[in-house]
Amino acid sequence: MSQAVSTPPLDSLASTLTQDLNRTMDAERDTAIAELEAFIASVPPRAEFSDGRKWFYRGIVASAVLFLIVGWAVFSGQTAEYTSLIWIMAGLGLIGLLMVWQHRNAGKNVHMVMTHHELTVWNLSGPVKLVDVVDLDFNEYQQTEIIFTMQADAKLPTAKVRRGFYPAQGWVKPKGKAPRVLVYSSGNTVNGVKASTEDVAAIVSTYVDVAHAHARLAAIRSGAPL
Amino acid sequence: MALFSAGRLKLVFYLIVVPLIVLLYPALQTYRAHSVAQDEARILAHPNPGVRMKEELAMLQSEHASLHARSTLGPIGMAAALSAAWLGAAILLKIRRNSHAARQRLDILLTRYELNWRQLSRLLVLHVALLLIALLACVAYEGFWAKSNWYSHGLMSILMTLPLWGAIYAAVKLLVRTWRQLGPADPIELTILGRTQARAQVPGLWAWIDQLAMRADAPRPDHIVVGLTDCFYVTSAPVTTHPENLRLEGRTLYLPLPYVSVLSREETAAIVGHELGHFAHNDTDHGVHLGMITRRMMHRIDRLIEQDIADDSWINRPALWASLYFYEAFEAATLHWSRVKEFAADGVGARVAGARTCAQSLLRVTAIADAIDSMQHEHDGNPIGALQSRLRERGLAIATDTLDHVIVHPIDTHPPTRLRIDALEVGIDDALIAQAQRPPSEHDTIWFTQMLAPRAS
Repeated sequence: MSQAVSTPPLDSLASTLTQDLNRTMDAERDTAIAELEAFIASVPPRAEFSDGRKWFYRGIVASAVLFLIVGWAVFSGQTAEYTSLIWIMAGLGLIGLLMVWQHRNAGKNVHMVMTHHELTVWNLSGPVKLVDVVDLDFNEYQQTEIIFTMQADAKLPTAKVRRGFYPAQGWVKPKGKAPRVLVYSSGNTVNGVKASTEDVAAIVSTYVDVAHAHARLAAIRSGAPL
Repeated sequence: MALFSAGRLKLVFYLIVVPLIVLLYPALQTYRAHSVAQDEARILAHPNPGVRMKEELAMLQSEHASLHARSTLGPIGMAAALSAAWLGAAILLKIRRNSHAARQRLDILLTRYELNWRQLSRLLVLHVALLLIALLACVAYEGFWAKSNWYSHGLMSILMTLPLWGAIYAAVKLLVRTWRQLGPADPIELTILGRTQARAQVPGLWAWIDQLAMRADAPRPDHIVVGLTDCFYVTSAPVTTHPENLRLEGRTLYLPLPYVSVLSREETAAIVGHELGHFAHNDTDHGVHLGMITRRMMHRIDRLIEQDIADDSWINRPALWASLYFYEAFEAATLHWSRVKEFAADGVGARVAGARTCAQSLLRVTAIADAIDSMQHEHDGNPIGALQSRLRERGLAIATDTLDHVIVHPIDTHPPTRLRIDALEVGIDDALIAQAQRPPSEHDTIWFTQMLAPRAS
C-alpha cells in the first residue's frame, strides 16, 4: 500500500491548494493596494477651511434694527415710558456692533487646514495626526462643531483659546473617556467655496479616511495581513 | 442580558409610553372644547345675563361648527393615541409569544416565524398610522381653534403645533416607504476556496464517505470540496469554487486539508459522521431557509434605519426598535436550535465512530484550530508540512479555553466543546486529553493520501 503513494497525492493537492491560496491572497492584496492608491489619489493634498460671514451680516442687521427702534423711540418722544427697554435695545445693538467688528475678517482667514496626514488649527500649538483619529462627530449649534476623538495615546497639542462671540478656533480636551480635539467655526468655507455642514462632514471624514488609507497601505506593503 | 433589558425598556417606552404621552395633548384639547361648551351652557342657564355675557354667548354660538369639530377631533386624537398604546402592548405580547413558541418548536421557527414577522410589520405600520392620526387630529383641532380665535392670538396655537409637523412628515414618509414593496433578498450562495474531488477522480475517498453515510443513515453528499482555509462543514446552499469557478448545486461536504492531514482516520470519520448528521436531519436545508428569512428581515430593518437617518424623529423609533427586538428573538431561537442540532449531529458522529472517538476528535479539532490560528502568517511554503512539523515539535495544547472554544463555521454557531463532550456522556480524563493532543503519527498523516490515490481501496 505504501508503494502506491510514492508520489503522494496529498502533497500534490496541498501544493495546488497552496498555490491557489497564495494566488488568491496576492490578488486580494493587489486589489486592496489598487483601491487604496486610487482613493488616496482622488483626494486633493490639502483642504483649507474658513468660517462664513453669517455673524457679520447678522450683527449688522440686528444692530441696524435695534438702533432704528431706539432712534424712533427717541425722536418720537416715547423714551419716558420705555426707558429700560430702550437701554436694553441700545446695549444689544452695541453687542451686535462688537460682533460685526469681531467677524470683520470672517471668511478671509483660514482657521483649519487638513492634509493627507495632519490637521492644523491656527490656535493649536502643533498639528494633530489624523491617523490617531478614531471617531468623528459633527454638530450644528450657533457654530459648527467638529469633534475629533483621538486614540488614548495620541500626542495632543495645546490650545490658546480666544474669547469673543463665536470665534473660529480649536479646543483640546485631553481628559474624559477619550481625548478629543474640537474645532468650531461659524458658517463654513472650504477652499474658498461656501459649504454646508454636510459638505464639511464629508470632506473632514475623507481626510481622516485618507490618513488611515496611507497607514493601511504602508502596513499591507510591509506584509501585514489583509 | 443588561443590553437585552435596556432594549426591552426602550421598546416599552416607544410602543406604550410614547403614545400615552401623545394622549395628553388631545386629552387637554378635549377638556378645552368641553370647557367652552360648559361656558355656553352656564350662560344659557343664567336667569338674567348681562351685556358681556350676551356678547360672549353670541360669540360662542357663532363658532358652533368649529366647536363641534373640535369636540370631535379631541376624542379622535385620544382614541388614536390610546389605541396605539394598546396596540403597542399587544405587539410586545405577540413578540414574546412568538419567540417563546419558536424556541419550543422548530417547525414554528421554520414555518411560522416569517409569517409572524409580516404580521408584526403590518401591526407596526398600524401603530405608526394611529400615532399619525392622533397628531393630525391635534393639529386640526388647533387649526379650528385658530380660525375661531384669529382676532386673539389665533396664530399662536398653530405655531404651538410646529414641533408636531416634523413628526407628521416623518410618519408619512415612513408609511410611504413601508408601503413600497421590498425587492427580493439575494439568494444564499457560498464561495469556497478549494478544489472539488470528483467521484471518478478519487473513488477511494468517495467510497469511504459513502460507507460513513450508510453508517450514519444519512444522505450522501453530492460534492466534496477540499480546501485549506476553513474547518469541516456541510451546506445545501449553492457553492461556487474558486479558482475553478465551478457552480455546485445540492449537498456539499467541505474537507479541510490541514485538519485531515493530522487527524486519524477514525477521528475524521467521527467528524464527517457529525457533518453527514446535518444532512440526515435536514439541518443544512433549514440553515439556508433561516438564512433567507434573516436576510429578508434585515432588508426591512435596513429600510427602517435608512428612514430614521433620513428623517430623524421619535416617531420612527417604535417600528425600528420592535423590529430589532423581534429580530433578536429570532436570532436567539435560531441559535437555540442550532445548538440542539449540533448535539444531535454529535450523536450521529458517535454512532459512526464511537462516543469516545467523537469526543476525542472534538478536542483535537478545537486544539488544531487554535494552532492553525496562531501560525496563520508564519509559513510561506507548504502549510500542511508546516502544521505537521509544528505539531510534532510542540504538540497540541488543550487548555480550559480550548474546551470552551466554539468552532468557527461559515453558516451557524456551535456550542462550546465541553458541553458537547458532556452531552456525549464521555468523561474528559487524562487519557482522552493525551490522545487528543498527541503529535501526528505516520498513520495520521498517511491515511488521507491513500484515500486520494486514484485506486485506493
